[in-house]
Amino acid sequence: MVEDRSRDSAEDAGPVSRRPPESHLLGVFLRERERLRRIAAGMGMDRADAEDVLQDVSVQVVRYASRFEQENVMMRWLIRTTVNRCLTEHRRRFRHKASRIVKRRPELVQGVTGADSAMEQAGLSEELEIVRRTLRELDPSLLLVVVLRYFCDLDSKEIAETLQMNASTVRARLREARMLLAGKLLRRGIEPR
Amino acid sequence: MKPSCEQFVDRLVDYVDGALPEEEAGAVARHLAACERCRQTVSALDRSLGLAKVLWEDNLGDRTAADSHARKPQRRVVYCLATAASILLTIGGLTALVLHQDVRQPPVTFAEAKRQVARAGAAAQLLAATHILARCEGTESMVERQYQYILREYADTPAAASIKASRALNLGGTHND
Repeated sequence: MVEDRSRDSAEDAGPVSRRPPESHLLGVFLRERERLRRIAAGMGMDRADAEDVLQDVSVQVVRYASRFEQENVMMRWLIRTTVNRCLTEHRRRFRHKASRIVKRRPELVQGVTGADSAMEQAGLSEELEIVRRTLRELDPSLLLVVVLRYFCDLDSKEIAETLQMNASTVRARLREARMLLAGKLLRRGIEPR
Repeated sequence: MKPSCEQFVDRLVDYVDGALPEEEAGAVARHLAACERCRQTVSALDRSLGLAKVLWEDNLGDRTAADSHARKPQRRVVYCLATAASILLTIGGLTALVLHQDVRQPPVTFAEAKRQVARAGAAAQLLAATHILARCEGTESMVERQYQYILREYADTPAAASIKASRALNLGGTHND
């Protein structure tokens, strides 16, 4: 699990002395829901599961709408709430087999990896499956920083602020996660560039 | 791994991310030029991230259409089984009615009542959240999904009944128009 960030309920809600309009948090949620959807996708949820996650988050948003003042605090809370909700769906993470993805989304695979021949596609399917399994088994604290950095385009400092940790810890986790992923591919064998 | 690699291996991720200062990046580049093993690691770092992005992007996509085709035969079997089960249940129910005219409802236990109240509460909370969402622009599809979710998962609650009644009212209004 990620460090216990389930404080997203009340105690991390920030000062409540001057309450903003109740729609403020809802507005931030609606504005940022594409980013939250990307986070859910990065954490391994498919589109339908991600919608369920966002629905649950929206309920939490309504419940805690009046507890926040600053937008950056709201954003941190929204991300943590989304992530924690994703973590409860652990069994659903990255459940779609790589071979199906290669068949279903050839343009996506070709665009990212450049593989186009049948031979390359077959090898690619194997590599994709290795990465899928590794992501599925990756500790959530590592997966989360990788998703925020490389799929949501936050830099190390922003991730550190969001997750309330040191930027150096973020960098260390990024290095660990990336080396784990690369290590699995290296064991299979890969051509140097 | 060569002893000389050890001082570079921790910096390879930062190097491929372009996060190293110029001087350090130069030192890593010089080492890579001479070390095939580290070049392989760099290739694997790039490749694995590219493949992870494929998986993430795929999760964002709508696979309903692609998967529904593959699921059709399975669904057909489920429909057949469901039809057979409903016929059996109907026959069984009618038989029981004929044989035991004086069948009484079992008493509702406290635990069951508590469960029903909790369900009704959860559904009402969800419905309230959905009403608030419905007041915001651009939330139509999400709101509709929430309504569908309540109708599906909390079909036996007052919240679901309220949605059905509201829809029936809207339909009536449309016909009148």
